[in-house]
Amino acid sequence: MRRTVADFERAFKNGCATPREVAERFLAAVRESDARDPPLRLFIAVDAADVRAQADEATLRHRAGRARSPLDGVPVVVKDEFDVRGYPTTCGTSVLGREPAHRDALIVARLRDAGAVIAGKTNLHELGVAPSGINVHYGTARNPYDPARETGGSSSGSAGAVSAGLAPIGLGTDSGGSIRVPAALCGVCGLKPSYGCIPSEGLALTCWSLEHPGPLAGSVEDLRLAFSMLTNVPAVLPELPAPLRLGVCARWWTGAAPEVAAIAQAALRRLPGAREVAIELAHIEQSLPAGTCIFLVEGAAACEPLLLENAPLAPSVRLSYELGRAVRATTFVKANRVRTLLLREFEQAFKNCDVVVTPTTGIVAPPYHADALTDGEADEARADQLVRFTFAGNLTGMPAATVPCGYDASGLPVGLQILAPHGQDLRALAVAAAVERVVEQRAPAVWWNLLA
Amino acid sequence: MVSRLSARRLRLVTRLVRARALRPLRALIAEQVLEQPLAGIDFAALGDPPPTYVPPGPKGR
Repeated sequence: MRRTVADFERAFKNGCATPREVAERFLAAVRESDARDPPLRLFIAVDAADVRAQADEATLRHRAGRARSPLDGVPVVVKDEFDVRGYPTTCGTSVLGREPAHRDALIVARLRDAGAVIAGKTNLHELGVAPSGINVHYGTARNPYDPARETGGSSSGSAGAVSAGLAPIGLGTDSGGSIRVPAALCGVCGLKPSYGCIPSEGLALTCWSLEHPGPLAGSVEDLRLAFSMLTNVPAVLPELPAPLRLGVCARWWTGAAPEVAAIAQAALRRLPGAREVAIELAHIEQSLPAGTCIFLVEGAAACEPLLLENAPLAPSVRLSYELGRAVRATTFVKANRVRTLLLREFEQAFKNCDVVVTPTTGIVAPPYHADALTDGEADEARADQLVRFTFAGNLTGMPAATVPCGYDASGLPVGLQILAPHGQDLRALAVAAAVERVVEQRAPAVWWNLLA
Repeated sequence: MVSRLSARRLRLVTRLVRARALRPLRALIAEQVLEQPLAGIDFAALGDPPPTYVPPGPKGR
């Protein structure tokens, strides 16, 4: 199955592989992934010479016994919204990033300082506007479990690359589900951390009050490691309380397809020492329209120069932001009052439970519509099914992890979302680790082993 | 809920909402898609909550 950071560290220590050999396998795998029909298009840019140079330095450190951290020499991929020295930051557009960045985003610098090989800039939905992997400028990212289906978005390339084994850790951003949705659809783990706990310096923000940078990883342990490095704080998973009280809002769960809900339920029932607690979130259905409203208004404001100069955005992206520009100020205030209601309701719910659980998405990875690949997707119902469980975390700022919890009849992964009170990111990860221990893991249809 | 737009309709609608002369159309679509779902909340009955513009919590370094 997918290789973890510990697998790479062990291989480098015992001489089974060197960072340079891994880098060559990575570069070959990226070439192969884009030579497929259809191409996976997980990356917007990979600078092979830079990857080799970083890997050579890591190889020398390992030979000298001076590895900087468990990540030394391990490939890590970065969503093309973060500045990475030497690469342009396109945000998935054809107009931004005319010059390469001169310095790394703060959290990219932290990974580089730890010895990680910054292996490439990953694909995303243009400006992170929607939860699919469609990008009309750089090609559409494909799901390694079934390349005819969506990766989810907007961190499509990071999720797809981690899923396909091209890196154990990827960086993403999440304004309405953009880490958790693609992680769930591609069968990997993801964490939208507590709002503000991971610094955003060097990130091209398109939605100030909702956007959260965070990691995706092939395992919860690698998610924990990444979280620790990105926050610059040692992170140890806490002991779970006994019994572990899982908050379930039954009305919210009805938004999931029956098969998805059943798979998530089955995973919860396998958790030892856990019991479900019924909770009420009276305005949870409003999280979707309130989140969408704030997301589009802030996004339209952030991207106004592009709109005013008639930049060549995909029609679906343009339409979304034009609608954001037309929202009345009173409606924007109303959406932010809904945020207050949700904060109160979750605060109340956490008095009776340790975490709140939901399916991460209402559906498994849907197939791409052929006509959406040229202009983008404008399917409100499908988008709602993908983000109906995720916006609440962005509005409230509470941490939310996703972990694979099973597979549907056609073998597509289902994610379980775990929400914890603000600042309790490690509690969410500890529950995710417990889920990971009791569910099976299946390899995707397309993946690479960089250690063989 | 708005039905899925085909590529041809998506291009057409996008062209229309960009036109300055059709600003009322843009506002109408925004009202249907983004504003209507929030219209029915009786905030007064819910204690008249103030808006929260940014999630609470300390910032990381």
